[in-house]
Amino acid sequence: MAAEAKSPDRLYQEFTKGIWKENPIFVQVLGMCPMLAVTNTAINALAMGAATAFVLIGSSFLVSLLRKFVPKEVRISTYIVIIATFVTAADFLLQATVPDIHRELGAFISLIVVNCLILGRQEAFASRNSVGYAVVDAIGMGIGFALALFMLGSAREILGFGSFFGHPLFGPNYEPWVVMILPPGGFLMLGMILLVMNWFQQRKSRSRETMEKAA
Amino acid sequence: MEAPRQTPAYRLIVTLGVAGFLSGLIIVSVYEWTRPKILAHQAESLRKAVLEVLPAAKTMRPLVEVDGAWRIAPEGGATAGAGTAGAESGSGDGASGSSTSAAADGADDGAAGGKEAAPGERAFAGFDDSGSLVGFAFEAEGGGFQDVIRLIYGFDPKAREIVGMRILESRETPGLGDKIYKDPKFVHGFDALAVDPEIVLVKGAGSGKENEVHAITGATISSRAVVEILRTSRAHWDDATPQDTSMDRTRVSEKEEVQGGS
Amino acid sequence: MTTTGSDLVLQSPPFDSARLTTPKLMQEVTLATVPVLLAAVWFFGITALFIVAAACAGAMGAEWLFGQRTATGRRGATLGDGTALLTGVLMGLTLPPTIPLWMAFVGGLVGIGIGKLVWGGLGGNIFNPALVGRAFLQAAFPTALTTWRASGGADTLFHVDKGAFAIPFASSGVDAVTTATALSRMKFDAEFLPWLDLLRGNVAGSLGETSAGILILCGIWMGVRRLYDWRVPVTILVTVAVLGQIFHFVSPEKYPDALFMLFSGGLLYGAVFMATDPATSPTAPRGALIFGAGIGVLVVLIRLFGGLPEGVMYAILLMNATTPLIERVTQPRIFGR
Repeated sequence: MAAEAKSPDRLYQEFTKGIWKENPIFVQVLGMCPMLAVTNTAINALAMGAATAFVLIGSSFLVSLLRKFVPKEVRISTYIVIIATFVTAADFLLQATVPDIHRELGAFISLIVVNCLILGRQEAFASRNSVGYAVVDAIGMGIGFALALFMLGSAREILGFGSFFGHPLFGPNYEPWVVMILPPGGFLMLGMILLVMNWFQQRKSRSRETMEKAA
Repeated sequence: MEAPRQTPAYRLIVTLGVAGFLSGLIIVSVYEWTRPKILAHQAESLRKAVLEVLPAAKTMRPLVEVDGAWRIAPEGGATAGAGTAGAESGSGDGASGSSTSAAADGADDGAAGGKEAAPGERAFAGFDDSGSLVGFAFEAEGGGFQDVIRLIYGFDPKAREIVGMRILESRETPGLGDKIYKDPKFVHGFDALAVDPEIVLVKGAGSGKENEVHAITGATISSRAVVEILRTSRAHWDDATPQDTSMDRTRVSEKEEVQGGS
Repeated sequence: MTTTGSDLVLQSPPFDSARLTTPKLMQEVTLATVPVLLAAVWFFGITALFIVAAACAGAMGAEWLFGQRTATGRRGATLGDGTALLTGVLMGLTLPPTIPLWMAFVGGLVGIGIGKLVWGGLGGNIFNPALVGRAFLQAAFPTALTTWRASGGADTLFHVDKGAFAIPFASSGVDAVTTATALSRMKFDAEFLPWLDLLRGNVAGSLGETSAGILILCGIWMGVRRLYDWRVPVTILVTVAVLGQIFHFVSPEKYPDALFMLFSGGLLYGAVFMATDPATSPTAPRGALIFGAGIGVLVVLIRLFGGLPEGVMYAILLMNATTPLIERVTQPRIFGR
């Protein structure tokens, strides 16, 4: 397993799969807890996405590096220790650099520890692949997660506050859709995005079918 | 990864031990590196809040408990004020004092150290440019419609008026209850609010008295909660506010002001 | 779906064709809302009509856009059964008279789109679509949905609220003279309106809910025409009346009497028009009793002890969720098994 050649083709695949084909939010539907709680504004979503990506990349790197030394009986505990380390570091870093965003995100930073996306990547990928692939996979997944959160956060902020990155878009008379900044709004928005994505998927496969029939 | 054979126990312990050690090392170094900045941010936001609810104040010092009585902490001790809070508390020492156990650090100038109140019920004294006391700021908290509401308010002991109020933390219903900090009409209702005989919440027009707070339409419970928190806090502090500020020789005039007021 | 199953009689063929089809049922129920609509126009002016029309436009728009297509691929195959129109009317009547029209439109859109079509269309939904639309509006625009205006009469018949025509996504922008509803005055000021006013309906409230008298008449007419299972509204009302009266006996200055409980808020409207939706309420008679009693208990609990002044909407939605369970428990057993 370790002696595989690093083909650029495979690197590219491992990188892009997290962004679209196996997107953690839209396809795997992992990490719902931070998704619901903190994607009420674009900036919060972005901060959460960045923090998660940081933890994911750091832990994937370490786990992959140590994969030969960690006995399988204690692997989960070791992963958790590694993940928790990076989460704590991310917590301090955010608190030191962007205290306002840190206050908004509150306990959800610490809760990255239990984000199943991260532990899932360690168990399913980083612990079985060489460091290069593990990091590329983590970067792809991290970007995919952050992008999905950002999409949700932007949509919810625009509807729920009438602003984007804090800049008002519609003038003072805008009536905010309060539900969008509450957790139910996260469910609704995610559902609508999934609806649109599936609809596109169906149309694509249907048109492919009709093309095959015609051929 | 290897063949399904029992791994010796010492290897498991060593692995977890090494992981724990490395993890501790990383966390401690990040903590040491970021701590001064975090403390500076906390001190700064607290200072901002205090100066906001005491519009006339330029500097502030915490109140500390000495032998069961509340006094203003001596100057040069633990202070989050003094204009240049950011730079000053960057040293770590001054900042830790202001955010945790006040005067302890600053006690070396001879004045008796004291204990600051727990976060959530802390109190501060505000001074204007000439150094005379303009009022006190009190943190207070209590139950709201959804969750605990934390606020800070400024109190002018001479005029016996609340001169400003800011919500620090609340989870009131967006669109209704959150008007307690989003509705300027409600917030500015605390800019000159008499506390005698007591603060009352009125609905509709009221009678124009100075001790009236106008309830927010559709958020009566949240409005009532804020008034209730203020009342409780007033009742608690009215007897406890420092009467004696003689720890600081330059503040003789202010001592009289405080006493004359209460 | 086509019959309400209130008279389940085992018989052998031949059968006559059913008297009621879905479109016909919908038509008759819609007809039953007309007096309520007229009362709403009388008390809150011509604006009421616009609001209901906007809600209908939203509901039918969603049905047309996302609903099934005809065999030839044209949109709007299911518009003809009249359910979208009825949902629009029912939801429109639950809105306060000061709401901007675009919000009513959004409510209709959400009610049919999310409340009905994503579940697979007519009969597939768990929750009452009209209430889903209203619940969404309540969560999205809590201020607009709790701003009430005093009722008028002949003199304000052609008065049009300026706020109604706020451009989409803007708030009504008008600081209307607001009035508290009977229930919020009960809850926050411990003040009980006389029940005769409630019976007439010249009080503040949602468009269709204020006139208890007309709602009772409509309810009786629908019951006589067998448009719904009479057990559902009757159990709701009896439960609320009995429980309310018990609390009133315990502490008369804190809790209102049974008549106030019955005639205030959206209870009668909800019991007659919302809880009886055949797709989201149990069909078996015993199930209807459980369903109605559950709604009644929840209404009393929310009104007297909850944070909100009114709870009929949430009570019905909650019991909607339990309907499949109730159905399973109360399904009549096949003879011999």
